[in-house]
Amino acid sequence: MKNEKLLNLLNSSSVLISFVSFVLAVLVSGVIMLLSGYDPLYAYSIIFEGSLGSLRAISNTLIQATPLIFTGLAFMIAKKATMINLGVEGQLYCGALVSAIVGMTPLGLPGFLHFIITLVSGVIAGALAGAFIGFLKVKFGSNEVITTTMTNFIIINFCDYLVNYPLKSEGAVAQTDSMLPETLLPKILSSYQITYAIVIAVIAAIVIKFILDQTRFGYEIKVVGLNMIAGETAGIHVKKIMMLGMSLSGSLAGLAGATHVMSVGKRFISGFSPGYGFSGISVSALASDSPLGIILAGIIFGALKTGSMYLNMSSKIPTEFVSVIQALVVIFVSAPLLIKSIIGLDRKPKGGK
Amino acid sequence: MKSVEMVGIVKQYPNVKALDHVSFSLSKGEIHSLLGENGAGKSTLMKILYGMTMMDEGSISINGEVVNIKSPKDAIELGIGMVHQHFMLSPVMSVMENIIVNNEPKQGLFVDEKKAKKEVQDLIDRFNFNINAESKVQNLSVGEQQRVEILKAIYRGANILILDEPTAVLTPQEVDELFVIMSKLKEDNKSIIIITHKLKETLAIADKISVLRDGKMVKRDIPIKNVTVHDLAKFMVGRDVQLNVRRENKNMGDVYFKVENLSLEEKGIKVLKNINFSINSGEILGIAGIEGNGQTELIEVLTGLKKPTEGRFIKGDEELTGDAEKFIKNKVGHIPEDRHLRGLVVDLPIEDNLILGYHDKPEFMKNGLMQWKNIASFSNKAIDDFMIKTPSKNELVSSLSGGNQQKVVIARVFEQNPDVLIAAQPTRGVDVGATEYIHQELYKLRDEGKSILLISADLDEVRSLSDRIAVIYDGRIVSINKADEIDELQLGLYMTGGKDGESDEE
Amino acid sequence: MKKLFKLCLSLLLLTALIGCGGKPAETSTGEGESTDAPKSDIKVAIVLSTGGLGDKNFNDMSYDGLTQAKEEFGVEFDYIEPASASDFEAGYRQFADSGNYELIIGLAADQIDALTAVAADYPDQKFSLIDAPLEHPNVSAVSTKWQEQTFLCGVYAGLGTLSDMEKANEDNVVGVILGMDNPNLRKGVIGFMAGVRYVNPDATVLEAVVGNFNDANKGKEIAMSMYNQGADFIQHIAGASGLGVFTAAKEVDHYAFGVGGNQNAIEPDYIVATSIRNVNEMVYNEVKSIVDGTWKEGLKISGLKEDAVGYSNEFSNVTPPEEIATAIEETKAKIKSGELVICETAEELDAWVEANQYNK
Repeated sequence: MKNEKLLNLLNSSSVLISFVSFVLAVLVSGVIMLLSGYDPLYAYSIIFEGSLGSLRAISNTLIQATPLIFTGLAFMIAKKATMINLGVEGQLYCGALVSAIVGMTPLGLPGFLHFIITLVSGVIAGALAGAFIGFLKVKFGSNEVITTTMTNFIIINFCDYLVNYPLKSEGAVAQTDSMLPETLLPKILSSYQITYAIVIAVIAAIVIKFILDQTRFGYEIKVVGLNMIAGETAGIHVKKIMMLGMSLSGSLAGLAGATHVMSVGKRFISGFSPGYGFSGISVSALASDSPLGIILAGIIFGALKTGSMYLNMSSKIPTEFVSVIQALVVIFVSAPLLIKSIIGLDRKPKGGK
Repeated sequence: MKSVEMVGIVKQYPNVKALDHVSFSLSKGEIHSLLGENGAGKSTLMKILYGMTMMDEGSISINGEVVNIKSPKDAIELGIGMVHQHFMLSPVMSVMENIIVNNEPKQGLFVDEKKAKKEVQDLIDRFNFNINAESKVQNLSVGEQQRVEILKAIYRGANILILDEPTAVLTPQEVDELFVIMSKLKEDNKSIIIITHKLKETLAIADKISVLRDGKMVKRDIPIKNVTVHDLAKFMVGRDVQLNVRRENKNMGDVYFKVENLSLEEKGIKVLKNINFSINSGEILGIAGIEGNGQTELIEVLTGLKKPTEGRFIKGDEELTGDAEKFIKNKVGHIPEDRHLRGLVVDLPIEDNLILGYHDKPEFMKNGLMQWKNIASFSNKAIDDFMIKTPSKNELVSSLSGGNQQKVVIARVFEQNPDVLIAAQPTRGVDVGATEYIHQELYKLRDEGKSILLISADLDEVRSLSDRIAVIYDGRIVSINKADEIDELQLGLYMTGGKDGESDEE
Repeated sequence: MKKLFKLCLSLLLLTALIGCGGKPAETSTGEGESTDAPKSDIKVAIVLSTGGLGDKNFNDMSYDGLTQAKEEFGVEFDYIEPASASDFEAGYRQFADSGNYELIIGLAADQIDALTAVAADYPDQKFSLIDAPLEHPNVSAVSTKWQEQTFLCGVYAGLGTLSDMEKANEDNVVGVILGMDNPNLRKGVIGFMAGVRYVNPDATVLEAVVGNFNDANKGKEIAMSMYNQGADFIQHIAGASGLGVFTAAKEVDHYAFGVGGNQNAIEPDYIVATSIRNVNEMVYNEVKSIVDGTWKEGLKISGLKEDAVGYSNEFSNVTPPEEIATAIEETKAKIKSGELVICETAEELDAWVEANQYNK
């Protein structure tokens, strides 16, 4: 079979599926552009140029990728622990708000210490928000899809209230005061926006990979995620693992929020997130839940977003097409059987029965 | 003229020849049993007939005409129906809706419900299906769901019916009911292929038997009157097999494991009622009973998965308490009754499964870190020791045959050398060769002086392996006897509650 | 065949998706169309507000201003529609980096942070910030006097509630609804109240906050309750939440005022006038100053006098009674001449009303 070689090359059907889904999404979007009277090659060349064509472009791509890597990891970890954490967005808000508050308050501490506390407090805030969801799930059996969706409302609106009233800085904008300079993440290049947040994101992905592959918690979370009852039979404390998984997921979301305010926003601004938490679902789907894959998927989505801004600015092609590509990728990735049948993978024998 | 005639079928998979010039035929009105161990090629052959897999060579004729079956749709049009092990029913729809879906009699744009109902009801009555067409599938037992699948195939006009391991999921009563339906269908001149590895059942229902081994048809069209269970086992495995032969117990010790006044109440219902028994070291105590009489709960309580409402366990000189983790640490081994549900994580590699439950032992885990090197050498040894057929320890368990999956469970427990073993359905869904092997292992453990509790729905297994047999009925132990002092008839009476005997021994 | 079918299926799915989600590519014909327009080498750029084009408000008005400049001077323009506040800085940098733009325009106060950071890195680049105050060497910031924007509608309401206009009632009550409670909108509220009491010192002015700019349902509920309390004229300063006010006006048969761009045509029988803010004018003027060479950094605050804000009843089917029209014209002239200066804060309001009365 001609696909066999390709298969061996990519060495895993999930990588292949992600790859084919992406290519397919790009192709189909191209067809749609063509039908709507735009030149897809031109559009893609602009997107490519705008996302990877210059140092500035790459910097912007990595800035966009950073929160997506975190939220992708957050969604993935919760999923491994059998939970659909739609609350990544809310947990990200918690992290962002708490970090912003800690960062703007003079604590009379040495700068580096204040910086660390700012970062860690955001992580803890996210972790607590995640743990709360986990607690509701294991204690009362509440469906986490509902609780996370609802707590998102509460958290986001409460944050909005805070920055509109008690924490509002002078002026017309709903935002907190600026954070102190020593609590911000340093820039990698001056006059470029990019900061060390991306480095933290990459380290986070590596750490998560290590946890999953090498630690007891990683082993147990895999077992629980794939067969909870077998885990229980093996003496694993399933509820504890779920709680820990949700807390870890929340802390990654919190880290996303914290690093974002510490590098991009420099304060908490109402409506700062264009749905980073939800994009994390797409990212982890494209990466088929592999931690290192999430780095790549985050960069791909970040590049698409940056490219779309460039498309917006230098052509009249509607940027909605970029959202179409993203949506398509997710649809294709989540329909592996469709992809498999298109590339002929379904003819592969199963087990040899 | 044959209903089905498959000639010289070859199916090559990348690494194995799944079918090697296999020929198979089926006459009208015949029940034909296709026997073979797991991986022998039975399912592949039938999937080719049903259009789910393409053959590389060979030809198929249906009712004398050469056909080209490219998909299940083609097969259905040719009057072939297949009932899989895993049912494909919508749980929220009614029996009737499930049956007529995609095949509704139409009246204009609308489903002619009256007509559909009548047709389905006719079929139910004619073949003794004994189900209510109105009930929701989710409220049906497994056996009833299976009947719905068969009914669906018949409704779609199947004259050739393929049943893939139909009895694997059924209780003895349900098996009997299924056999009644099969006989009725046969009277109606329908042809049936039953894929199985259960020899006794084969002899009870089939007209003819064909045996596959390693992708080759080793025996074709044997009439049942000419063979014995022993012959069939030999054909399947390719050598002489010792099945259900008692092995004498020569070194039974004193009482080692004791269960006292055990009761369990769930949702206000007493599911276990004041259970008392003990197991000596070097003894197998079998528990016989019809499924659903408290066996599952008993296993769960004995492995720490559920807390008994009352009662206690004593192992050696110590009382045993705590959760599942505690029981495992205290060397109470567990072969779960449903390996897919409780025993294995099939989407993880073999090595991960081989340490499941023991993964926090110091050799496998230090300071919270998995010791994959040690785990690898352990896994390779376990795979060797228990002859698990796999290319590597890194293969997913789901890629293994049922027997080899069960061997993973057995290897895991046995490698840890438990003092007490709770073995539930240790050979369920396992082929003859592996069954024999697992029985040998149980004997070996027993002869090492361990206490084993054997819970099995297979009465033959319980009778041949156990030193003593207890019968559980309605959550109570209604009798405990030495294995050689009680016959099948008496056991049957106890199991059905017909004889409310107290324990015949002290 | 099967594969083809599946591909088609995916395509179909997709098209359906786009059909639902996409908006018509109306902006596509922007370029190369204006054949007889004057040519110019000047290019400008704009970082739009979140919400993007199609908001029938801020963004669309800015776009109109740029389109006007393009038609008149041949100036080319590019724009970015940021998805959230986090994208502002990247947008500014992308434009500034290219070095192709004479002027980069930003909108609204939430871009102040981003612009401050970027303007410092590109000291030779000219920036204009519309509708927000910012003092920075290479930035021209244009903001408006909110109190002057709503004052004339206040006058209309103050006289209208006493008049025998068809949909007015007996009660001497009017209302104002704001989207969010921030200092700018607060000034708008004061301006409206001052306008009402300038002509009708005994009137009661109800006030409420929606809490955001995009909840038309809540806007409607609040308006309903105000109308039920006797109000017959309501001024909204609530963005898309204000659309609910119009719905309510129609339902209970009373009057409302629009805000921002001319909204009168939305419900011409119920919206009697709009408190106009000519964002398009502001944007246009900034581009024009580049073309003229008169662009200057610094803070500019404009009001009625500069036509940055104003009052309009164009497109409304309701003609104000003679006396109201006269009063509005006279008051407008007074403000433009500087004779009448409107107060900005709630603390000043009572004293101001005491000191300034239309009839005196």
